[in-house]
Amino acid sequence: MKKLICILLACFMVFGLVACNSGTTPAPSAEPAQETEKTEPAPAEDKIKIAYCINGTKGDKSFFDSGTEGMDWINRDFGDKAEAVEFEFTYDDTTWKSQLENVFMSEEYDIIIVGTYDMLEMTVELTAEYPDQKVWFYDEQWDFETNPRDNVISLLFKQNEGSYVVGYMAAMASKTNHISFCGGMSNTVLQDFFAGYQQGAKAYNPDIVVDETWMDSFSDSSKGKDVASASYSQGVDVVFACGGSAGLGVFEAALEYPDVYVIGVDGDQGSMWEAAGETAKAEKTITSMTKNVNQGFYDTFKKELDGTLEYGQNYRLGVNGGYVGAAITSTTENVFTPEQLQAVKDVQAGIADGSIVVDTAF
Amino acid sequence: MGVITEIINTISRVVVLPTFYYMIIMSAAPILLAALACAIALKANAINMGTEGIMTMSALVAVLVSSSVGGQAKGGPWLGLVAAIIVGAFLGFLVSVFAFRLKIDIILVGIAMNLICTGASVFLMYVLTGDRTTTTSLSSGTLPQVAIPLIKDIPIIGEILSGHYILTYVAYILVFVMSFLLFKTKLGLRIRAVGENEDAAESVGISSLHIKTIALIISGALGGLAGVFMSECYLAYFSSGLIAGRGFVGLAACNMGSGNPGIIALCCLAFGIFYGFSNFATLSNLSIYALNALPYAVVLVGVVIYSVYTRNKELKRLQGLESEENLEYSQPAK
Repeated sequence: MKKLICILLACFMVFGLVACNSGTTPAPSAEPAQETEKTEPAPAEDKIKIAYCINGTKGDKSFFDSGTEGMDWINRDFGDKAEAVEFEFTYDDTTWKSQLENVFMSEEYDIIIVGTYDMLEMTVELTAEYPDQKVWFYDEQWDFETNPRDNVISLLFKQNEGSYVVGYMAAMASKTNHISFCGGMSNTVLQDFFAGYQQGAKAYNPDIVVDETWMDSFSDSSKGKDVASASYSQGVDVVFACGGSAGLGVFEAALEYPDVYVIGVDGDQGSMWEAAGETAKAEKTITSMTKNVNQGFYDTFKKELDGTLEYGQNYRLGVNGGYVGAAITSTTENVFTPEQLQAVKDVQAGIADGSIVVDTAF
Repeated sequence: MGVITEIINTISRVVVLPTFYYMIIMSAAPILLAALACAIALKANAINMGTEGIMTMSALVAVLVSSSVGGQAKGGPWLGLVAAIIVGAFLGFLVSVFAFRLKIDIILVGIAMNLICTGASVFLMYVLTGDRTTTTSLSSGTLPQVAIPLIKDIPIIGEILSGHYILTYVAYILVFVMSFLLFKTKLGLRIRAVGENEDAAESVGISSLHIKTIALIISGALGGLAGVFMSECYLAYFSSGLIAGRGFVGLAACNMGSGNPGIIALCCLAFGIFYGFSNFATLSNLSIYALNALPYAVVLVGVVIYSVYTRNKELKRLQGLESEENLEYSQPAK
């Protein structure tokens, strides 16, 4: 018995090692120290070094992957001037602070990119300790009045504007005049999504009922499925699934009801289902509210190169510039008429030129 | 007052919906399976804390096996089911090896099992599929939903009772099977004997080691079934947060029913009622935090009430003995 266990364990480990090595995407090192060893021999003194700190892992198919893509673009287009690496802090939030501290302490990087609400407090502390370290903080409001830092910029995606557009589309697609928002946890960013969504829906049809539901989780897909089932069975026919991988459960629920739709979030989830061969889910996904973190990072880096980036302030990235928007897939084109799609474009243009002012939760 | 009227309004809105009852039955089933897994182990006095981990691992194995043989069309889910039960049973066996042969505290083994399985499942998922959060890129399929003849044609009842996934029915049937196994078979008698008093059982020639191992293997297999329920019935894929504490809720339900399958089923249904309610009531103005905590709070309150009740019963029994037989009990047990 012992032998069997030993052999099994050995097989498991060897297999793990082999599989890791043959992986197509090279896993970046989580240890800043190792990264240093790797980069030191290169004559990279004049290169701008960027550390993208992911407080999670790659492979979420939306937020962090999009940011990683932005890093890849920077490496591809500005490989002679810049070098971007990613650190995955994994989902164990107890280690985030020490890992982030390591990145700061190494003093290897010209720019550290870090973001989301959970990282705000520790970043506020660390940026005070390292006043010469440039930091891009994304996806959460940085209060420059209470925490003035001239080494920090804050990149905020105007999810309310993107949500306005998809809310408008949801109202267009709804036949029951009853749509809902299925959020992860009720924080300000998610509230901002809802504010825009509701306003957009009401702009198309003032009488529409917009329900606000919460899953209270970003990871429990079964909860997402149940909450969405509850909505669908009460006459809701479009749900905006807005909560990380918990939101994926909403798509499962949609499969069980006829004539209902889902709106994806962060990435183009309709195309994602299409690529995964899940056509049934792709056909339920009328659009996705995309948050183009990749574009945001890329353009901000261009500004950094030009020297036009001003530290110590918030940059708000909205529909204007294509940082947020609604993804168009073949399902979108089947569900909406060309005239309706034109109307959506007009709405986007309206937001971009400022003639439509979108509510915000901030 | 506003809150109370809101609660009453919400309840009256929700209780008329057939889908509410459907959700109760559906959401109680995986917890019931987990609780039954804990129950048989508890009866043998071999508490299986690792059910959560066993569920996680077998949920992943089911999806991987199913997709590797070709998914829905090739009968993959069924093979996944078999594989998951085998993996679950093996993990149950592993718990028994560590706890009884290597003499490690069984609670610690259970905790280790949960931690290892949570980590290993993500590791395996990444190594084999390249994904780290969900296996949506694999087409693993689901086990079939069953329409019960006759019942499915009755208007509301059909909607509630028919059309569930096959494992849902299996879960409720297993309540009776487990009762039968524990209280009407030789193995059940031995399991209970070992659980009540190991030395007494040993003295009549029962190997407590064997019986406990068997109980843990059955427990693991049931945990495997609960895992499959999550990844091939509830959802059609595995994700890292899929089990979401259902193994622990099952453990609580099992303790509430002190391993008695009938009471366990009632506890699970009670959890299902409040879980279902919290999902439907999220449309109201009630606090979502309170709503989402509700099912767990109910379990907690239930456990407390039950333990007070059993304690009082025990005290009464002892007092009765004292007065009837004039026996001197200096102190009631426990």
